[in-house]
Amino acid sequence: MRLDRILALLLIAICFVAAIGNWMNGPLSRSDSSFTESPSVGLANVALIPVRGVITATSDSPVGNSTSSSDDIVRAIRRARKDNVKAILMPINSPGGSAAASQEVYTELMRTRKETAIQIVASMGDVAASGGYYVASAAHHIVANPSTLTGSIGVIIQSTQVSGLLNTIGVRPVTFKSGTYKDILSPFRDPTEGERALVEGMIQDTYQQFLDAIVSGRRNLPLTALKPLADGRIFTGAQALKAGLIDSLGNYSDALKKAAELAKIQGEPTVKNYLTPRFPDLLSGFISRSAEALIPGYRDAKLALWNKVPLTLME
Amino acid sequence: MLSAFYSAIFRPTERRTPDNQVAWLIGGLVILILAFNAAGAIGAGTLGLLMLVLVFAFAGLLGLYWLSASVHLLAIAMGGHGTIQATVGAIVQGLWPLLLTGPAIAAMDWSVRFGQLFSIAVSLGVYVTLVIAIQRAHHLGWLQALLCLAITLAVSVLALTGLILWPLMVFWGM
Repeated sequence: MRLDRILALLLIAICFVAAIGNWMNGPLSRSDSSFTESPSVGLANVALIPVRGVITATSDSPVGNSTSSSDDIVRAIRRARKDNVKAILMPINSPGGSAAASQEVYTELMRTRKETAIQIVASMGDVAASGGYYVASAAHHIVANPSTLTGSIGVIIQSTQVSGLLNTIGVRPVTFKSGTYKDILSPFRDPTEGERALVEGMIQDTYQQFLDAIVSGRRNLPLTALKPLADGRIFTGAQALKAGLIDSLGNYSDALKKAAELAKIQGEPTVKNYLTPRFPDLLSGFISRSAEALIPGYRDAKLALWNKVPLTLME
Repeated sequence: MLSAFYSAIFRPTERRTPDNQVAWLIGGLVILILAFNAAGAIGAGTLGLLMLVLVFAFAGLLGLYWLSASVHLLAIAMGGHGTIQATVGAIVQGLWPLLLTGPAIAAMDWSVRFGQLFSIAVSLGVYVTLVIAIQRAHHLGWLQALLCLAITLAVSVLALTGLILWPLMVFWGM
């Protein structure tokens, strides 16, 4: 291809990609955000790192960006540290997530607390329960709305037993395994005593890690005071304040003020969102949303594929 | 077509009459890029974007009709020799700097000042390329081409005012 044609194509591509980026920066980054900030321009002294939706290791989801990836959050925390911000503000709106992913974020925040003078403030939205609280507990200060749902401190593993149903319709699964526990949590039979003990041991171990993490993060909450609260119950923000699970009541602006106060920022704090979606994520989100809007049944088909169940069972 | 597109942008003085295919390509791209930018500014979704593309295409055709008619009339009055097809093609091709509005707005994410300067340069660039296009299509001098465009833009504003005032005048008079 001649150079002039390549240059022409390149110019068209750059202009087009930039325009698509302008569009996606508008609706996609603002659509499910419960807060708005000035554009990320120049040096900021407060890093905004929102945690939204289910906390998972990666943000692969069949229904757009309804999950928070611990990989992305940890990367954002590291970038904020590198930029020498004075405070990290984490708006949390999450019902929880996997233990490992929550732990990943918690560990990075605790490392930041230990190695730097960066002040971390968590601002709870509608829900900050279980893994959401796990992450919040690494903050120097937790702010929640009076009606925020939080707590749910505990660990749960569930399995569905379908052997009765399969017997009724005459289906008998056959399992070949290399070891006694290879089909632990199998939906096709009742768990054995050994399996129960094993799973309960795992749950207790993870639960203890959860409690230890909260105690390390929240210095004013000893294990003896925490244990009675950590039976899986949920609290409103007001109840959580009385129980000592959070530090103050307020909204996002109050949390920002608190972050500025703790970090001793003079004047108006400059906030920069460190978790702006990457272009490939924006593009896949855009394609997903467009397909959902234009192709009837696309969302159901994708969910069925993701859950590995036939589409007929979804209806 | 890509070669012709390249020539229209980087070697505008190479051809006297504009290439129709290139004009359509530039016109279509400008409408799409402006629609994407506008959709981003107002936070429109996919359907909103489609509506914006349709509205911009319609508005673009109306604007093109008015601009071509006015420029052609003035150019002929000043001794120009171009055809109406050449005028339409020249005006559409002259709008090519608007393609750069995408990168100009995107540049604001990095530096607001640079983005603003880029946007001003794009706006000035549109006037410059339109003047070049009119001058080439009608074999006019620089000043005549500049006058053609300036009078057209001034009359456009006045015509818009007249369009609003005239129904009001009739309404009140009745």
